[in-house]
Amino acid sequence: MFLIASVLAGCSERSSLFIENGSGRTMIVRVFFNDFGESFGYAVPAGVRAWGWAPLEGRVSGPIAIYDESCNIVWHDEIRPDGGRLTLDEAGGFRLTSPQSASAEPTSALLDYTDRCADSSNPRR
Amino acid sequence: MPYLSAGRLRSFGLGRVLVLFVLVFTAFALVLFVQLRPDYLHPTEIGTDVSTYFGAGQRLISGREIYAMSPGDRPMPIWPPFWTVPLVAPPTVAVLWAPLVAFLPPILSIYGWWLAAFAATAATYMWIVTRGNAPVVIAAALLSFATIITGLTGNVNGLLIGGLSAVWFLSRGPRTGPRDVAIGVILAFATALKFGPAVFGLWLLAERRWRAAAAAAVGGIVIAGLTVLVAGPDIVPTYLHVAGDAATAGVTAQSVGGMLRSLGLPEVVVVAAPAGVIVLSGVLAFAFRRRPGVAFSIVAIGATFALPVVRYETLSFLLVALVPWTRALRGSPSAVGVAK
Repeated sequence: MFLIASVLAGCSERSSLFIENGSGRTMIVRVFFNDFGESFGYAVPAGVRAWGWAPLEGRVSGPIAIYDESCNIVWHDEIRPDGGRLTLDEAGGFRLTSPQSASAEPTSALLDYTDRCADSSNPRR
Repeated sequence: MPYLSAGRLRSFGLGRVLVLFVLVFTAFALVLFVQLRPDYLHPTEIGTDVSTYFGAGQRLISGREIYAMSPGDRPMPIWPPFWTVPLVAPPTVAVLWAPLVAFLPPILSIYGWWLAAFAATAATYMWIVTRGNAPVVIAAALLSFATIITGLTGNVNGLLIGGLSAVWFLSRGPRTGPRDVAIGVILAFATALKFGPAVFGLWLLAERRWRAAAAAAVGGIVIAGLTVLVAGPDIVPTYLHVAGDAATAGVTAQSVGGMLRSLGLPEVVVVAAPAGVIVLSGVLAFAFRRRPGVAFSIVAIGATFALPVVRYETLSFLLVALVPWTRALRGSPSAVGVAK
């Protein structure tokens, strides 16, 4: 029953990640796959608001981390199963909230993938 | 007589007790793995093996590169230096997935593949445990953790384990044309999805199954041709570059090359290790050609270690080496070297 319930729950899961960089510098955002060293990431220039990935089938799990341009980690947290809206504000604060608030954003604004900071270790470890 | 006495156990059969113990142990291990890694039950999750195949098919039908990421693509994790591209498998995986992505809802294609891979892995494991003798059952139990991971991740290895086991059963009957063609086509497909099964071609040659070997060669050419036709001619140098990276920077600690590296052997030996495994498998398969079961097990072991990227769960591929040592079904041709 648990197996069937889990599978059925998985069928309806979707996720997305919208990033808003209100800080005055380029930041690197990486999402790690569970406990592994594997990750994907985006370089987000100052002032940019764009999608990492627009809504798609499948949830996401693992840490989300923000690095400066020298790949020093400045913040990390567990990503939400549905992704989220990541806000980097002027004061240097970071906030991960529900992706619902990003649903009205145009999906044409998409971030490039980057391998910068990809050799950083998983923040969970 | 006490409920669980030695006499009762003997009358039930120690072999049956062992099988029952291994099945219960495996079931508990399966539950434990699912508890520890609930994401195993979510093949649609970003970063899973099935998500990787789906993404490759998606990029192909969208006219984007299979081995590179563009904005808007389904996210694919990388892990330098082991892999720096969204797909390490041959491009045939993307070609195979293209129609699944194009014509089926994602939920259906992803869960369908995942269930098929799980079922193929589980069926092979159950067959071996229920139809092997004690050493075979114990060997399968030792592979149970790796097998569970392979089954739950929906990795293509799960389908290959089932397919290559079918090759053994097909080879046990009379050498008819349809059987040989089926053997050849399965091996061609398996090799197109992952290079390791190419080693089984040496088994066909050792067993002088010329018709099956020809079917495998023709099947391989047709699949390669279709792949190039669908993915474009540039896919050949691109994939060779990816495979070259995997053979050098991508060598994992559990591979033969990785083990030789840890012993301090020079890099040229590390890179040549998979070729050495293939040659050794071929030589041994020819040496044992009069014992098809032994020769088949040798090439199955060779196929497991003939790659620069071997991880713990890859060891589940060794299940294929155990298949010849299981009892055939009543009325079907018996296996060579079969367990009594």
